Amino acid sequence: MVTATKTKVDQSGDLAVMRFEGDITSTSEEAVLGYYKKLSGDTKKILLDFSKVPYLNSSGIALVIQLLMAASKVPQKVVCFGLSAHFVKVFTMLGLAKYTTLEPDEAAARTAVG
Amino acid sequence: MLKLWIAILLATPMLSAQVVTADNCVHQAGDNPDWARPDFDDSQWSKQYPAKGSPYIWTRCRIDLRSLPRTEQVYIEIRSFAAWELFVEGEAAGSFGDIRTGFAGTSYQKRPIPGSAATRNSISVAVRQLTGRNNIPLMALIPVAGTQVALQYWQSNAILTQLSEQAPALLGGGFSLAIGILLLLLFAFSADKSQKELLWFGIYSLALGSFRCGASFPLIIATVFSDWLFIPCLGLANAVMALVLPRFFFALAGRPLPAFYFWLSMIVTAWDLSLTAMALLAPIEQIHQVRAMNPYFIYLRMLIGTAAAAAFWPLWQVPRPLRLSCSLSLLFLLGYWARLMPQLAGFDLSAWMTPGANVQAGFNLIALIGLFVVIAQRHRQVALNRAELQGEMKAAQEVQWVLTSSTPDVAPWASVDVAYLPAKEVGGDFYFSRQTQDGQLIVVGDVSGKGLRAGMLASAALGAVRALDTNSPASLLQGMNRVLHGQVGGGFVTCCAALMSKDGQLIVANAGHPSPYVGGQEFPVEAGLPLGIMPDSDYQESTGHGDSITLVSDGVVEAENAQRELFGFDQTREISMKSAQAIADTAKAWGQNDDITVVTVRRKNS
Repeated sequence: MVTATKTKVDQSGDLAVMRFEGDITSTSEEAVLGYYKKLSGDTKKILLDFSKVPYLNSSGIALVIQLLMAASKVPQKVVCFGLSAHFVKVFTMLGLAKYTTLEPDEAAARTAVG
Repeated sequence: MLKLWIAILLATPMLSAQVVTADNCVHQAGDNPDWARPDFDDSQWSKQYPAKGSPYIWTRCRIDLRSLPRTEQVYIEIRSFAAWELFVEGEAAGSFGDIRTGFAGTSYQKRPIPGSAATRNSISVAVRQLTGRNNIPLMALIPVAGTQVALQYWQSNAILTQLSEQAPALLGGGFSLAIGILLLLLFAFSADKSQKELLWFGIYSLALGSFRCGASFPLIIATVFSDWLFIPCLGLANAVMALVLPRFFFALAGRPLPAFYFWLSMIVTAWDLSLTAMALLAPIEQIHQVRAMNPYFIYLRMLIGTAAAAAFWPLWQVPRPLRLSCSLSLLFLLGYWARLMPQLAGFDLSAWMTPGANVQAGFNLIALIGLFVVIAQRHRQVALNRAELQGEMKAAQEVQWVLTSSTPDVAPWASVDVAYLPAKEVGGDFYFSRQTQDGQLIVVGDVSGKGLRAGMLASAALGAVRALDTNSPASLLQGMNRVLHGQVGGGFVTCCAALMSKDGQLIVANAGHPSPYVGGQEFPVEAGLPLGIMPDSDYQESTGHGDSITLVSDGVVEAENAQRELFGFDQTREISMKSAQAIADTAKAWGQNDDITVVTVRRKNS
């Protein structure tokens, strides 16, 4: 059973942490891109928290990729953390290294984002 | 039964003379045991029945018995929806319901006049009533007296009169019930559960019909429904109507339910349910205090009705296909408000007992029938569209099947094994096989998403592969990327291309796809962006050696079981030496939730 996506944003200066909860699928556009578009215009660094995301299907990954592409145009630095080992591998396969880095937890992500 | 009714109709005019009604009834709110005394001075009491406000109401009357035959026992009949005590000439002569708690039913009750009083020409009658818990008004109480048989005919005549007077309202209630049942059956047996207006209007009609019939019939035919049954039934019907009405109108207009109407309906529903619970459980005095708040909730209930207009707002820009639905909804709103407005005056259910209820029921009936026709017609149209769409999906499936199932072009030294299990009629996976002068070329790809759109994009990707004249996996991916860029609509296409030479040399390029497996191990490849995202994506080739190579789509590694465990990369690797069909079947058995494609290439005699 697919669970709906909830998003919580913690904004602190030019850093925004988007915390996702639930599966990310084709129905998660508002939760991913909608919340991204609402971020403060001053946002330069974004952390994507996937620690409460059990599953992303290909449509959900497409939304994340759209976010990464949009952020790269601003430009904003994006770091993902909290992904399960399976999805770390999936994200790695997708060749997104140019657009984001993957970190195991929030502390490492905050360090990586600078 | 029919004979009985005919007998009643014929006998009633003849027997009416044997029943006498009370004269000079006066009423007083409050409670005092002295008010039962026959010599009590009630000259200051009102002839008007007091508005609700006190739990207890007394009624005092005189009844002239001289015209009644004294050869038989004489009775007094009391019509009330509350608990009561009867006093004749100051003596207790009977009671009904629980006079301490107010629990009663709806009833016409007869009690014999005590022996000593029955011989008098005129008797003093006092009735002490405790306001009912069922929120039905204590209507002006006028006792009548007569023989038991005469009173039975009197009562039957009264019932027939009321039935005929309220026939339109009852007909409307019965029609609502029928519509509700029909719509719910349509929804239950409909393959398309997205037509929520069927569900909401079905529930509403059922609740409205239950409410109307439930409220009117007991009042008319004087059944002995206990408050324990009567109150929860009406309370639940009210609560359900408040809950589903805004949902219905917004579903009818094809719009999501706004938060305002969501919370409004929740508040009124909660109020109805808590009032129902309180009417059953709380002391009668507290019920009076709580009911004082009822007007505010009637305003809220009227506000709920505005969903009929809000769902189609702005009304002057309603699209043509929705204009009939909108007009009927507004007609329904008029009837809905007309039903509630009388309650604002008296805050009770008396509206159901007035002739005006028939006018309101008429409004509602026309709107109900109209909306039922609109919804049924829409349901039929959706079913037709669905059937047509299914036909087109089947045609698309056949086209895709032709595109994907053409016999793989296989080199004589190689064998290619394919398993393809789409999750829907039309899949988003694709594969391609071609022998070249450099070896056997294999391509497996996956369009993000599922269904017709993904299937069409997969066909486009396959067309691009066929059109590209290159044997280089990386060049192939770059060419496909150029074709697909700008065509993927926010999605992407993952793809893995592999070239196996006759001597087992492997060249693999990957665009975001799961890595292939060679000799039971994951083949290390350079990661690359999926196709269609960036116009200038570059793909690297990785080389190796092997006698077989297995390419899978993510439907294998992301097969998910009931415990939400993914099949995963490790298990895929462990079975990667099996046949393509065995791998696909294993993933499907684990729990298919995406298209599954497996292609294996083996060198013969290896």
